[in-house]
Amino acid sequence: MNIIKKILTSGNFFATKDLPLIEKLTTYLFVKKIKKKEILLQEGQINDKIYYLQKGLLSVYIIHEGKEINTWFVKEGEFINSVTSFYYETPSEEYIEAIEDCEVLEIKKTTYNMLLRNNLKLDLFVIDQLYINLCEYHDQCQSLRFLTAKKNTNFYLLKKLIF
Amino acid sequence: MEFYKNPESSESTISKDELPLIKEIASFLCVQKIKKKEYVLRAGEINNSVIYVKKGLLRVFLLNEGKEVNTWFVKDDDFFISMNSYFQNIPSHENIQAIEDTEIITISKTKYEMLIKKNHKLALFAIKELNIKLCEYQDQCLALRFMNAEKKYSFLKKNKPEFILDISQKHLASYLGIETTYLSRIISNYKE
Repeated sequence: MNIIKKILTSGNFFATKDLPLIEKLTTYLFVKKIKKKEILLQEGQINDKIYYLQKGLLSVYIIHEGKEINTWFVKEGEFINSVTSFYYETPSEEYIEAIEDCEVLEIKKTTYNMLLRNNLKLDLFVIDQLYINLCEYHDQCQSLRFLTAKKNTNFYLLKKLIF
Repeated sequence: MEFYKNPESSESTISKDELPLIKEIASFLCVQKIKKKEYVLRAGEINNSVIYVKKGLLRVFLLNEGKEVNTWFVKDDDFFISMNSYFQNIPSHENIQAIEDTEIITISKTKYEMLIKKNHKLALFAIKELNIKLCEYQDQCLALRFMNAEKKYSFLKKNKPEFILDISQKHLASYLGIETTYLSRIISNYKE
């Protein structure tokens, strides 16, 4: 999904009359095309950007005891960052990798913070997105606690790929 | 710590000269004293306010196959909402109960949303708090995925020592997903 459409349709924070402002905000984003299997974020790197997936599919995984464990799938129209690494500026434990050819928009943390300080509407949009992300984590904790491994996999594939 | 002093801490995005704003916010706050074992929220209710613990200790728990499972502890100066219930206005599956006499401060969702819509500093403060919560959830997911009870215990001991001090073994065991007797064994092994 195009970022402008995303901003206009998620929540009611921006209206069509804000289009010039949205267009101005999007000039701070950089387009990045990455091929299938290319890595956007490596374990150990500090994640200093937020990504928006305009086209394609990304996976987030952790390498645990030599095995890749998927923790998240990112579909078109979703934002992704490695939250702890991004907020506390610590090395990421996660990898973010393209599982299809992708078109990603990225914004640097410093730019993002500067925009947040100067735009209340953007803040409200971001707060809404943070709640969405928190609810996903909340659900993930729940299923990790109570569902068996097999049910878990199905649950995620269903939730992230079908709905 | 007083609620309005919290924003004056060094990490804060709100400065001292914004005291009038803080006072306006304060006029919407509701202070409640909750006795030990009383509930702040019961499963099935909709969580329509933000909860801040001024003093005391709350536990968040779920019922799974008839057993209480602790999922979160909320201590002094922490905010808490039952995430899905609050955001989507749906019944909560979590219970929030005081495990000590606790003083909480709440603000209704509608008033809070009205305030952040007209106040930029408050919106930035909310973003900061939500980011911190997000990191805690990520840690919790990692712990649930990759740590056994021993590892979780030593993780808590290292990163949240106040947890171990303030929370009874019964509640801590339920948080770690084990029986109390097994927790005592972990603790005694840990000391050796």
